[in-house]
Amino acid sequence: MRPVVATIDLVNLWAGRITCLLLTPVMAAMITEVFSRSMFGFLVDIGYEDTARTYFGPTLWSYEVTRMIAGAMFMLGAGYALMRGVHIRADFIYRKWSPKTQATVDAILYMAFYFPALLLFLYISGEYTLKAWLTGERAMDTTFMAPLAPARTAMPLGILFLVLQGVSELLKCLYRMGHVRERKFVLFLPFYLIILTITILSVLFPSTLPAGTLIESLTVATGFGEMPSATIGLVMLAVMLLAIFVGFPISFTLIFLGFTFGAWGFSSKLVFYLQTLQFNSVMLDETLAAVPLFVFMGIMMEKAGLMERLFTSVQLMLSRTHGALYLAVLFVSTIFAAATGIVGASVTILGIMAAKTMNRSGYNVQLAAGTITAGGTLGILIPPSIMLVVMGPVLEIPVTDLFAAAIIPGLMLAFLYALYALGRCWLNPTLGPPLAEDERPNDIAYVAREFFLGLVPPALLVASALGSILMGWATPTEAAGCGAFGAVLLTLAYGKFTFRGGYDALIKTLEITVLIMFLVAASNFFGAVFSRLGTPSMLTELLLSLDMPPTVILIMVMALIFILGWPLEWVPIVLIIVPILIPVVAGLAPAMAMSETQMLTWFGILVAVNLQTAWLSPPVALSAYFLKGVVPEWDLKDIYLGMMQFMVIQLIGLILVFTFPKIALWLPNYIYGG
Amino acid sequence: QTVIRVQSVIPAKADEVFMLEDFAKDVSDLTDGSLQIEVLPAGAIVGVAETLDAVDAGLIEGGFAWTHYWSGKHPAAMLFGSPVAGAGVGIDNIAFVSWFQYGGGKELYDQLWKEMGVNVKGFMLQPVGPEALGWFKEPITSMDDFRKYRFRTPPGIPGQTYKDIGIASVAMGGGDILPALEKGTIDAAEWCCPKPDSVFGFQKVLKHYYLQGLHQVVVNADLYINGDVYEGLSDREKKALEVAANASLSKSMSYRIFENGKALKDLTENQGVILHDTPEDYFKEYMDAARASLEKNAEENAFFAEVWQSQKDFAEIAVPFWAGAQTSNANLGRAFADSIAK
Ligand code: NA
Ligand code: NA
Repeated sequence: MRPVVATIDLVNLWAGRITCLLLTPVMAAMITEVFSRSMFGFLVDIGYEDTARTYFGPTLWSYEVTRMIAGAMFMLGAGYALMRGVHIRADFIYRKWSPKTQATVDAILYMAFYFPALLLFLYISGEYTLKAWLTGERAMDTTFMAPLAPARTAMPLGILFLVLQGVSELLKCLYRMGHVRERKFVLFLPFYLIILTITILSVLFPSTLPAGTLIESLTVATGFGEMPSATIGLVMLAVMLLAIFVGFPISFTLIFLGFTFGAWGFSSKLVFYLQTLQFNSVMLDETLAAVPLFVFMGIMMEKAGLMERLFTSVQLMLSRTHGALYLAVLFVSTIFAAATGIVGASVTILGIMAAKTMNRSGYNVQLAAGTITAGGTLGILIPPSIMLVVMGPVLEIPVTDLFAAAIIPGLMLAFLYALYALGRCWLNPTLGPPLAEDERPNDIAYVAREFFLGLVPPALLVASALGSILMGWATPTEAAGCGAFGAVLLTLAYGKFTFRGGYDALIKTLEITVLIMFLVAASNFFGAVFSRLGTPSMLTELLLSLDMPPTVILIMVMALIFILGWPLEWVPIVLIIVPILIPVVAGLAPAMAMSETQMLTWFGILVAVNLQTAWLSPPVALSAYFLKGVVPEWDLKDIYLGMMQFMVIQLIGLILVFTFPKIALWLPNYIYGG
Repeated sequence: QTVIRVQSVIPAKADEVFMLEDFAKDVSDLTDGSLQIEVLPAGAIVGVAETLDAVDAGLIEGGFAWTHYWSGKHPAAMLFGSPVAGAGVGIDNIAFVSWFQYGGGKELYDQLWKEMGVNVKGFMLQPVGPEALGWFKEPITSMDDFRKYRFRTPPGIPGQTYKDIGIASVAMGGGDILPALEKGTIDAAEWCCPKPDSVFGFQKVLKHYYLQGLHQVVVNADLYINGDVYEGLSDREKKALEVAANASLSKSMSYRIFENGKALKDLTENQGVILHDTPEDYFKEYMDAARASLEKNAEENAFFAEVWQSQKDFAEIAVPFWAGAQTSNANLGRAFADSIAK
């Protein structure tokens, strides 16, 4: 059997090696678009209209090409990532077991959930892709109308790689569990294959196979079939809180749960359609194309040692200050928050860049992890922010107004984080030790020069990412492309660029991208099953049926969102819960002495700050897993404990915005009026 | 009691959704509550681009979008949802409803879903056109002026037509448009019509507004129900859907004229928006390009050709009357509008 493992691993190794190269065309397409479009504007402005029209101008293909290739990347690299073990586990129980027990549990989970779930997903997504090829379906979001089939093919192909890698991983488990257990598993294998086949066929063809009706009659007979689907959603949540801690990779655990409870609540075949459609939509999401680019930017800078220098120089400058690095991390994360709207990208970049220096300087892991994750989530509040872009049309508030309203609360939170971190260090200096006496510099000129030189690379990077937005050259997604390209130029300028190093950065980028995007897709799917079961609407309507004064209702609404943000991501909350609440909230406007627009803008920011905590509240706290992915030596428990401290700060921030609505409303009123 | 969950592709507070709720109430009343339509917000269960696939699979019972949203699945969807430049033959939204109800449109519409290979039953509900040409950072007086600007265009053929007449057409996600206009990444954009445009917030960054445009003179939104779910309904419930749909065709149009009127008044009187007439040469250039692209699509696709032929046959009879009668009306209306503007 060992040759099988070796062959599969080789297939996925090459799949990964080839897939990671796809980032270059994404970057090239974005740079072309930004350059050509900006040149057009510039030449028209100075009166060379004919030249502008002949040689430059926006391209129609860049938007489609970039989102499709970036989407294909995370599916095609999924098998490679599983082989490299990048998918994060919440392994509190798991790691206490002996390697043999771990292997046995893994093998059972692979057999019971992984193969049925992925084989069915493979079938349905294959069918979906085939249809796109046969009908020549095209995208309808742009003028270009690109054919969908090529990009969509990455889905079944990527799942095929995952299934193959699953076989390899299962075999590795069998080797590790010892001969006695391995024999039992091998004896059971033929029966397993028969059961697996029957299960899959009965899901796909429920009317022709008796097994489907058998399962159905079983659930009815036991009374489980009677449960209203909204209640099934509640059970799903409860089970999730336990299941995550079994220690199987979290993204797969979410998929298994969605699959099991979706099958129970509606239909097993439909649940795979839902999964296929959800993965399809993550694949084609244009804003998520920024993820691999920002990650690549971070890794390039780290590999060239250009970011470490900044953190070291801050330490030199504030050599007597306790916790100087916390300040540096928060400063950099606030700047990055203004360059990206994607949490996954910020947290991983900060983790990659700062963790090493923090470890070396003996910083407290919990506080370090908390600072990085909290700082990373600022990206979703400080504009540009994907969450506010999604919320704008839902609330019918112009996105620019929401952006303006979010700036002061965002900076306020950054300030509160810094206050907290430095306060803790002041009380307990061991949390962020200053430089040792002999490392402290005496020469002020030397420190100033180091600081200046350390500041140059990140300043140039921010100039290329954030600057390209502010100068009107690029959209936020394209700014990621500019940042990534800027990182390449910078390493070239510093003489640190090698093809080997560039390639290593690409393959590392692929690993982290798969980790992030797979988690996003899996948790979107989980959220979609939850919504399809009707649980969020049920909870919200239950709350609204209570008769209470306005402030109490608002507090209850915030509490509901806070609680739902614990197990859910922000997407289902913004799309499902918020619309139900709008009429109630808008109705409170007179009582709060605000116009309806003001009320909804304020409410939007309250929701945004509130949902930022959803990224910091374990166990579905994706930023914890992003950080764990790039700093494997940190214990997940410490990351959890660290981020929970900042959840409390977040709560204080929320109370401040709640008590003083001006924190949110002053700036949009100042810029745009009324 | 049957509940049909309808996921829309349009934000929950939009006028389209408001009228869809109105339709749902009519259906409920007409069936004594036996048929309930529950409207789910965009993205509630699946992403907007996957809505029709989800209805086809039975994941949700119904979906709601503009018909041309599915042009990627079949090019002829455009001829129902937003026939470019009034199908190149001057059909406006009222004439479109005439074609749909009495000129053979409805039968072709039922056929559209079959051509697309999806198992749904569709109901045309809301004529919501005409849409505006768009918003500009500076006034334009000719096509040469227009060609200086990077313009965010609508998707599909209406947008391709701009590319064909030399406009620097930009593809951009909805959420990026306003910030991009503010920072000068693009210079001009179109979205819909006064009410949705003002909700979107264009007036905060651009002040020059052009109402007359040809890319989406006619715009229609429709509801489709999973075919198996529809077949499972009683005859009375099916009839209720049909009657309520017909009522919705007229109510939506009435509602939108008044709502857009109020929004435009607010834009020009309170928000400093300046209305301009679209440059004359725009109409000929856009019309010629639109016809060329309609011809090309008709050559490539038999069903597209069939639908377009039906619209041209209808136009030959109806447009001379309707356009002729409308001209006097439009002139009178413009004279009145000018008199109150002064
Ligand atoms: Na941001
Ligand atoms: Na959470």
